[in-house]
Amino acid sequence: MSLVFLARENLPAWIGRLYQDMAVFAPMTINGVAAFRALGQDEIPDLSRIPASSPKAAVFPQTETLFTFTSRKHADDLSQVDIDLSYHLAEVPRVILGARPCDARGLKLMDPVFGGKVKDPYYLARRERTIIVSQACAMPDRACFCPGTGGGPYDPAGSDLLLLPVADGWLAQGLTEAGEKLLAQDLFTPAGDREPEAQSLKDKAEAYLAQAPDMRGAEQAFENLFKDEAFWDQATAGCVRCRICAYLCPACTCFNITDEESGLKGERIRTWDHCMSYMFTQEASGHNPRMQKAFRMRNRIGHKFCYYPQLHGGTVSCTGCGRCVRACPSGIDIRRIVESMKRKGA
Amino acid sequence: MSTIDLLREAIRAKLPDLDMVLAWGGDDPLRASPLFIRTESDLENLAAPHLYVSNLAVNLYSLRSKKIGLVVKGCDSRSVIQLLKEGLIARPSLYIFGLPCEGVVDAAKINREIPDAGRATGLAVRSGRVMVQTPENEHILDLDAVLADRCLRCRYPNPLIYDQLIGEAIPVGEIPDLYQDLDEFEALSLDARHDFWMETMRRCVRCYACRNACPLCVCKAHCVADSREPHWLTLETNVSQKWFFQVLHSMHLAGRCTECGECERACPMGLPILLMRRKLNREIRELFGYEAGLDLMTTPPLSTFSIEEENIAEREL
Amino acid sequence: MSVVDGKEPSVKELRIIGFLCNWCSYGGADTAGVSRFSQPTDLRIIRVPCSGRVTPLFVVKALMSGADGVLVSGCHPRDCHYSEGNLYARRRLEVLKRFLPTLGIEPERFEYIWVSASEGERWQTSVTAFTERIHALGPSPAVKVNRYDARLVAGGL
Repeated sequence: MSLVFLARENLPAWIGRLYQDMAVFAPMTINGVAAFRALGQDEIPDLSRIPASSPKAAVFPQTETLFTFTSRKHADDLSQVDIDLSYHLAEVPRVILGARPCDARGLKLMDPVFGGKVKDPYYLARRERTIIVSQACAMPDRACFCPGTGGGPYDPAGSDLLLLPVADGWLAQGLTEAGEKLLAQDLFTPAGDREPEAQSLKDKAEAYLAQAPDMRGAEQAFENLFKDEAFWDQATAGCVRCRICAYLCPACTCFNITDEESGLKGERIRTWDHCMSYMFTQEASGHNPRMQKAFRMRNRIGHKFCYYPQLHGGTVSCTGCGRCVRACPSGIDIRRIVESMKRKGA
Repeated sequence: MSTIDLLREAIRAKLPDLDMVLAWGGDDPLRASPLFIRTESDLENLAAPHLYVSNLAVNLYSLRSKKIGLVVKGCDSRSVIQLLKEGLIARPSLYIFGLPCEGVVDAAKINREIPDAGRATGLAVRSGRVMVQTPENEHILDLDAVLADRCLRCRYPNPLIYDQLIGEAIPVGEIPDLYQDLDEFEALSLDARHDFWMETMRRCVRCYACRNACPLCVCKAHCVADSREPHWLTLETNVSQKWFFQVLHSMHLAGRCTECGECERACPMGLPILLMRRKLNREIRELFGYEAGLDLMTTPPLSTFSIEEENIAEREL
Repeated sequence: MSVVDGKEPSVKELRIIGFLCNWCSYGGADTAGVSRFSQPTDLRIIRVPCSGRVTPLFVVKALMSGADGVLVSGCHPRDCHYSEGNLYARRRLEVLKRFLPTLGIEPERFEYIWVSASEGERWQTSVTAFTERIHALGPSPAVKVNRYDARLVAGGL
């Protein structure tokens, strides 16, 4: 497919045009931390840093209303109550701009969870209206390990449009019809002979990541170590049980459903859940089969590197984005856990 | 011998008497991680002292049934004192290696200063400068520009409680904490302060890292923020819930917080949430002349009272 | 504010929450009522066993849930029926009062006072003064927060 060039100074104008037709989710840098958010008018994203958060909230919001309910008491008989329900599915088209290839793959990993045997209408309504414009990673950092999960810094999988960085802008590569459509603009010019420049950055990025450990094929090792309490205790010794790893993860999908009521009105909401939380898998009796943090972390690792791949042809539920590694307050590194698991459980 | 060698030898000597020793290690050039030393071979992973950012006291409460060795900087020692004072941990099951500290570097600040800090391969501190090596560049920064905020106003570089001091105590002059950051914030209009918290809480992801990294947040599974009954907070991640949680966390730390700054360091979004805790600390200092974590004998001011309060005027309407 | 003296309410009623201790202030409010002292009706009273029961978070939660003002009232110092509950309360509530402006909330929205069971008149004066003060401040800080949240929800689609 042919490449076109977008100059860095034309990015705001392009975003301005996209903004007229759709919601734009892109990373904004505040206080040195880039995080995805729905841009306001004239907000200019920062595509230079690896965003601290993943863009999954654009299709799977941290909080979403499944429906609202209102109780109506009968005036003549107050014991009689009718309940009105209402819900709505997303209608507004959206574009995720500045996703990284690992983020695009994250959405691909979520698709079979929400759109497989059981179809989730809320997720699918958003997903079908979402265009993904990824920026290839010319500068991966030491927390990155996408090649070890089957991806790569320039992996086009899951993206509609891929922006390849060059010194003064990007070469844009349309990958789907929806992505191509976004290029039909006078802001893009022919790429000319810029391709080798992009290619050399790509080669450098891939070389930088050549040492990434292979996170695949750990299913058996995990099962062998399932009962090894000492192993999991050691792996989680420093964990403070916060939720950073799951909330920043582009592939984590666990959620909670609760009713939040006030007076006669309320909402049934779906919110992100997290395996390190005390309430995770707590049963109605109060018993929790995963009481210790070691068992919760085991579930986290098992889900990503054993159960998910067993169901989905060996694909791990991790894209190597490195966000959990970068942000963990205790410096827990998922690569080290999987590596030692493979070594010990072989 | 260098500090790290002194520390290694001290731990090696005590290790047989202890279940484990908590120190700092790992291979990240910008920050060390908690290192749980169980065997002598673990000692090989000790990191350099200017990377000892985290406060290891956070682990003490959950390990209270074990015999623990703990390395503390001056600031960390105040958390240990506070935990002991509140009866949350017991002194006999603790062996404390006190480490006089010249300040630790803040990886978040380095990341702000250097675009390729994430690719760093090495970091060295020499005579007030920090050298950060990346595959493409060598960056030189002023140490003061990348020291953690709490180090810039540190009044207790030497541990206030220990069984063994590693190296020599650092001479300290009188450094008052002037709360300049707070003064600047409070000079804003009321609306501007309100808006600041709205925009700040908008970025919060409600991951509770601030709570869980706090050495004095010991309610763990019983935190009211996680409780459905009573229903203090809903699970919505809107600003109103997240803001209320920050107020809740701050209020529960009033008169207990030692300003170790772990809440802010742990925050993946870089939110300036220590400000709230500092505000409460300043008021507590003015009202009751009290600072947390300095001694074992005094009672935290909100756990006691005076019949005649010197600094609280009777309120009338 | 509306006043229970038969006149038409002149201003829209606000929501003011009063946490009153069972032994003194609730009795004081009762005395005011029995004595037929006219009072504004904006205050919704929650009776608590002791002002020492009132965690500062009750106050913050009320303000963030849409209360326009919060008044805590207990026994005078030295008169607590549990000896010392109000003395603990005084420290906590004073700290809270000084904390509110840093959050961007007017500290005047919150007040704590001491009213004994016999001080019906003092109760009347206090509650009237507090209600007038809240009316001067306008609607609750929660309104602004909720408006901000609504914008974000709409933006998050």
